[in-house]
Amino acid sequence: MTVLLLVSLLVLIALGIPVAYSLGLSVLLYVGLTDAHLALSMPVRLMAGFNSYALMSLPLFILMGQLMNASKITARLIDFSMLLAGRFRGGLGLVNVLASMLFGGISGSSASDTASIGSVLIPEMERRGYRKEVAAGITVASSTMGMVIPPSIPMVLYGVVAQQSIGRLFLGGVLPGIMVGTLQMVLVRILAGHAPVETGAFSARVAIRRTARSLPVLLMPLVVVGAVVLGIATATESAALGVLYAALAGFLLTRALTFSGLWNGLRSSALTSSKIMIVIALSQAYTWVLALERVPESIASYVVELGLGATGTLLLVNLFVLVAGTVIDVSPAILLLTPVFAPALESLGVSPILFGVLLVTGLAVGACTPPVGTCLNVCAAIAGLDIARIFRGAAPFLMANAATLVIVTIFPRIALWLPELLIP
Amino acid sequence: MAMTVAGLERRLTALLDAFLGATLLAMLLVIVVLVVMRYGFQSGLVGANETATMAFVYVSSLGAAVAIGRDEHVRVNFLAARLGARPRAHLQSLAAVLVGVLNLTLLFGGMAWIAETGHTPMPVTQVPRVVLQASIPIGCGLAVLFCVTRLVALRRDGARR
Repeated sequence: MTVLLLVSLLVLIALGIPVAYSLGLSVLLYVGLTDAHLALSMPVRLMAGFNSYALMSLPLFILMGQLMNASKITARLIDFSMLLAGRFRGGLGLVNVLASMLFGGISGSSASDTASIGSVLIPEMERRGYRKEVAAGITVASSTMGMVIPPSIPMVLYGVVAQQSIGRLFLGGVLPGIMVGTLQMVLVRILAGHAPVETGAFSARVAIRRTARSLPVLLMPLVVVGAVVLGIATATESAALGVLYAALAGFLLTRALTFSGLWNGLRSSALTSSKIMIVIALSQAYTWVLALERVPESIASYVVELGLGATGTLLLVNLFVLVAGTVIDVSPAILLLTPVFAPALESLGVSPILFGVLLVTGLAVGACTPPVGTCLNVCAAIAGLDIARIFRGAAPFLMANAATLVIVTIFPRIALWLPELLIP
Repeated sequence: MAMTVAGLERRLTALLDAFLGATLLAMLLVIVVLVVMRYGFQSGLVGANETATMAFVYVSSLGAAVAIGRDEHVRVNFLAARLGARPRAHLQSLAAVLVGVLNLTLLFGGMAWIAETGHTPMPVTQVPRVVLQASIPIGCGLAVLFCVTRLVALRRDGARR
């Protein structure tokens, strides 16, 4: 029955049936062949999936990112990044990575990072002599930080599925996210070092003015993540406060947000989050059936029998996650892989926070690889290039993500130090 | 006939779209008021969590149906993208039928569940659970409807070819 459950899911997904309904249909097939009465409990499973206070933060984080986009804050972030990195050779490439790092702390989504930074910087980089696929490649690769640096929508998903503290997960992503960005900047410096210097030195007055203009935007991640870490608000409440902050910034600070922009953001966020929520709800039914078949226990005992130890197993799991990420989107991948791998890794003494950080970091790479890379598709629409060329441009910079995965696996303190320090 | 179905689908989608936006706004306001009451007035808001949860469940359930109508659900198009127009249309029709069958099963299962437990009140607001539970059969019913309109649209496109 386990084989049927897994094979039917893969066949249905390959046939192009939406991932959520492939999960539901596999469960339906299973209960139809074992005990048809179980089908009556499927609506209860569906409701259990929808009915989660922590997951209410999903549409709110998505809305927060959309309002920040509609508020045209990207220009301020790029201005600020130019101040820090524009004076070096390959400066615009560095600015692209730095702006993504800052934007990741605001939007929580890699796709919106690609869209907003790419639409401004790809044409500008091309104008300054960068090859278009390199400009697009840097944009796509650097957008992966949006998922790792808090607030992060995939971390919320993992936190709910693995029943882990979202505050600790947010903190766990900080250093690995910064490490990805730093390594990418080193690679930009090496690979795009022939590019011209973009700007001269700034006067102190310009530097102060640009910093002051960006400050309200730069403070936002501190407000949102700080509220969760300090226990002032739950993840859902901090997301709601983030929406309020983004709306106020858009209406009063940049004055670029309109009421119709707010209304469009509400409608679009509701729809986007419900597409994730139906995957969550039906994946809960699927994992319930996996549990009935004792699949997680079987995988756990198999992994322990392999005798690779915690680090060896984690490296193997990283490789699996990277491959899985190329064919399946981030949210369904988290929902499917967490219940399968988390118990096995926990039995080897691997911290669930560490696994969450590595899972999200690994799957973020999948968002930049063909055939289903969301960020690749967004970038293809912006840059007017096919996804294969963009991927060729991004591949060297994605080595930074792969290196981070290996380093954090070998030195788990990089991910665990901040959560243990601030939320003991 | 097919044009009438398309027009009705557009109107229904627009109506549901507005409902989703308004419900998310209501949920957001309830949560913001809850935080303001807690820190501004050291007080709570009775039933706020249950109300926000109800709004969220309706957004999720009805939004999933709207996404079927718009063909926006997360899927892997690797195989379908490599097929010709006719086999791809057959595959899409098969997908619509299977998704419809699943939602029909959930619809009937949901109604049986409501008949059994829908009369019990929720702990804080004392609203009968049926108000929350009804989101499942309503969402699944709409999903079935959108599967039918997808099939009609695919048939119409096939006839044009």
